[in-house]
Amino acid sequence: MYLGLERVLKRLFAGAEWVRQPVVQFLLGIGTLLLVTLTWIFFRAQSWDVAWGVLQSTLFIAPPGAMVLSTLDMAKVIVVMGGLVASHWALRSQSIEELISNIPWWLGGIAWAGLLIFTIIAQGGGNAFIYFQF
Amino acid sequence: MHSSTSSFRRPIPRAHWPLVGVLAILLTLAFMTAWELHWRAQGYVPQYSDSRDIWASQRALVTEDGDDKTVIIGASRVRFDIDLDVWEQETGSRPIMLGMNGTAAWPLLKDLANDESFSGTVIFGVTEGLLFMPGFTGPAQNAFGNIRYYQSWSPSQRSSFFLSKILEPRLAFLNGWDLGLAALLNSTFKLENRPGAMVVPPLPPMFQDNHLDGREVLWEKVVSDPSFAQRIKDIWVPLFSFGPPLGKPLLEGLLDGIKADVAKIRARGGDVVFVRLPSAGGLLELERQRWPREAYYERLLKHTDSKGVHFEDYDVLKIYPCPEWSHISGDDAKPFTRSLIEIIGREADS
Repeated sequence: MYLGLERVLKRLFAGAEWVRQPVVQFLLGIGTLLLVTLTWIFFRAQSWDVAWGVLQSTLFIAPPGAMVLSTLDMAKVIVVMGGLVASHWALRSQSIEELISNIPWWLGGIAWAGLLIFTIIAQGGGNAFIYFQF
Repeated sequence: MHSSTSSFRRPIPRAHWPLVGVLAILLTLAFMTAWELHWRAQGYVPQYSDSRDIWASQRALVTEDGDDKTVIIGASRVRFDIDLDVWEQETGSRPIMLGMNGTAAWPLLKDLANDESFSGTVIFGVTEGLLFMPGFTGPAQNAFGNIRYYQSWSPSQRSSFFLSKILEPRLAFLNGWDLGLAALLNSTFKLENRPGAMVVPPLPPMFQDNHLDGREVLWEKVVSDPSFAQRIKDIWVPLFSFGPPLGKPLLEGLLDGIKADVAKIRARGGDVVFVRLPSAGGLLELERQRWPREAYYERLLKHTDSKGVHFEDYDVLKIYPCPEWSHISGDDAKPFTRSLIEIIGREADS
């Protein structure tokens, strides 16, 4: 559905110069991320009621309720999502293959070591990825 | 970054892959060695993690061989205070430990009641602050989570358990409770929560040895190091003060549910015995205040027409200290278990 919408918008604004401005590109990226995040709610929720409740809360239209998120949990999400957006923006014009080809081998080794180390230290915290469950 | 759907051509990047691989492995091994040595210097030792897999492996014993067995359910007090070896020596039959830390026992009772293959005796440990809580809260949801985990225990999870049984007794850093990334972040960054936020207070650090049969033994450090014991004591009161007490309609519903499950087990020839294990100090005072005995424990016994053993009623049970207010030591668990068995036997015959 989103891909269809993207094709329609591309056709409508194909020649527009203002669309190519960095600020607009960034906002389009953030907008895409927000729309995808909304779909994750339905993917992850165990029922329509839960999904609707989270959606309402996300859009600030939920009835008043208890604050259950700790400040640290919110900080973790801000840091991770901020890093995700920043890295995708910095690498928007190249593929991951091009990036890896252009960095020194020792930097690649350090990066892979970092990934392995964090995977081991996380100690199973990331094992909820559905495709790995069998 | 280009999306993975934007091109069907994904060439392998040019890089000195052998060098990258060797460097990555060497750096990882160096870091993890230093990491392991660091935590051992802090006093951590290798041991099994208290995982859902351990619980599932014990739950499987009920179905395989549990028709007339004794099954112990409850929160951490049953795991620390009841010595399974002593129980087996005294009775000739090894009980199955299905206690879970920080958990309400009634979902576990319901699971056993719904298991037609089970017709044994349930020893139901009553920890008021965990038992008398709404079903949507953590203590009950933890229990349901374990039951669901067992029911869908997948090949990958069983394989992971097999591997963990090899690695965990050899590596001290494999302690997810204190040394996992999430736990380290929580202990390093203590950020103030928003006023009025309903956030569960911090949980205590690990202070026990976990056994594969579900048993737990209090660390010697808790007994010998008063400052470490105090660190745990300081957590109990805020933790057990969290949230309002259970309202009357929910309490009635909870008691009715337990009564129905007890009846199911008894109809098959089994039984349920409630035990209130020791607590002490500020925690015991809080428990007496928030969950008065007559209104909760005694009410539970009356509602389910059951016998119960409350530690405060027996000199031989209340003599054992709780170094951190909530559990007795491994050494004390042995004579405590002998006395408990004798008392349960007497109560059953009376």
